[in-house]
Amino acid sequence: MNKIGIIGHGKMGSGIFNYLVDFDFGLVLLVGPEADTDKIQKQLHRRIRRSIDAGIMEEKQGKRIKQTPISMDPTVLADCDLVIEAIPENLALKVKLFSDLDNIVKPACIFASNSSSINPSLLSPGNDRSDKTIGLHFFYPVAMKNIVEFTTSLHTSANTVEVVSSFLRKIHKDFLLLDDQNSFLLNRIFLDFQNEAYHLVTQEKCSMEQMDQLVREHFFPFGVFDFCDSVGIDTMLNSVKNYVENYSDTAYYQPFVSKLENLCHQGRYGLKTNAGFYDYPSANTATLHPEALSEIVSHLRLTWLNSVRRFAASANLPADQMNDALVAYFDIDKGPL
Amino acid sequence: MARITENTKNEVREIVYSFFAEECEVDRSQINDNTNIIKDLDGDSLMFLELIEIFKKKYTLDIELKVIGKYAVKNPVATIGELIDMQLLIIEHEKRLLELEK
Repeated sequence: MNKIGIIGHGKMGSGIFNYLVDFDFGLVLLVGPEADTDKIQKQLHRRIRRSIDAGIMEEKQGKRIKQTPISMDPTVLADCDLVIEAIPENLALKVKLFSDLDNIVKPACIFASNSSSINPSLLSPGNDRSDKTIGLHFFYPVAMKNIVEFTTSLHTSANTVEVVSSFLRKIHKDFLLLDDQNSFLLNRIFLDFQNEAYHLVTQEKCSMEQMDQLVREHFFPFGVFDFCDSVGIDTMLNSVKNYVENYSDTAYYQPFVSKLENLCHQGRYGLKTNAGFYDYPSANTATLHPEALSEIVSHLRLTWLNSVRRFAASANLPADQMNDALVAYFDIDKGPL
Repeated sequence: MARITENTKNEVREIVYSFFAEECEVDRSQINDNTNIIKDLDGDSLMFLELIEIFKKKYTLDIELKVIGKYAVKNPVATIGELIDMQLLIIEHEKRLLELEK
C-alpha cells in the first residue's frame, strides 16, 4: 500500500491524517467546500518546520510531506490504494461520497469508513467495490488510542482483510477484526453500561453527579453523563439509535434514547453548547452513602461483565484480545475477563 | 527521575509560549498562564500532541503517549499554565507519571 487518501478534516479526519504523516505513505487530504485549504496547508508546513527544528523529522521526510495534496477536488484521490472517510455521521452523505468516488478512484482502491455506527455493507457503492468496502473505526485521540475496530461485511474479500491488517500493523495499531453483526463492539459494550447507569439514576438510586463520581472512582477515568456531554448529545443519539435498531430488546434502551432526544430538542448538545446532561461549568461533586454506593457498584460491575462476556462470545474474541481492547478503549489498568 | 531546575522551567515555558503564538497566530504578549488554549486560542489536542513529541525528543523522555493520555484524561488541562505544569511533570516523572495518582 503506497498512497492513502483521508477524506474530511474534522476531529477524526485531521487526527488520522496527522497520525499517518509520521509513516512512509503518500498522503492526500480531501476536504469539504467549507474548509480553508490555505490555512490547513500553512498549519501543516509550520508543523513540518517545527518538527525538523526539534529533530523529530528529517528534512527529506518533511519535503515529502510538504508535497501532500490538500484539495476539495475528489480527483486527487484517483490513484489511492486506500481511502478513509471521516465525514459527518450521516448515512446519505457517506453513501453519496463512496458512490461518487467509485467512478473516480482506481478499481483496486479499498474504501474504508471511520464511521462509529454505520456498517460498511450499507456504504458499498456496488458489486465491484463491495469486496473492498470496510469499516476502520479509529478512536479519539488517534495518536493515543492504540486500538482500531476493523469491520468487514459478508462480501469483504480475504485479500482486503490481509492488505488492511498489514496496513494496521505497519501503523502500530492493534485491531479487532469484526463482522458487521458485531461491529462497534467497544461502543456497544459501553452503551450497555451507560444505559444501565441511566436506568439506576431514573430509579433514584443516586443522582447523575453521584453516578459519575462512582463510575470515575470504580470503573473508568470518565463518568457516564460527562462522557456523553463531551462527545455531544446529538452524536450520541445518532450512534445509539444505529446500535439498537436491530436489537431484539430496543425497549430496554428506549428511556435512555428518549432522554438524549429530549436534550437535543432543548438544544442541550453537551459541552459544545455549555449544557447537556449537566450545565457548565459544573461543580459535579456529590457523595453517596457507602451502602448505596456498594450496591450500585456491584450492580454495574455485573452489567459490565455480562456485557463484555456476551459481546466477546458473539464476536468470537479470546479473553486476552478483548481485555487488551477494553484497556486501550477505556484507559483502564486491566480488563474484566 | 529528572530534577526540574529553574532553567528547565524557563525552557519549557519559552517553547510552549512560542509554539502557541506561532501556531495560533497571536502576538506573544497576548498569551499568559491563564490563557485558555481552546477558548482563547482556538487550539486543539493535535497541538498538545506535537508539544509532547517535541519535549520527548528534547529531553529524551522514556514515556509512551498512551501513558500521557491516561494521565490527561484524569487531569485535563485547559490553560497555558496548566499545560506547562503537566509538561514539567512528564519531564520529571516520565513513565512513572501515573504513579503520581496512587
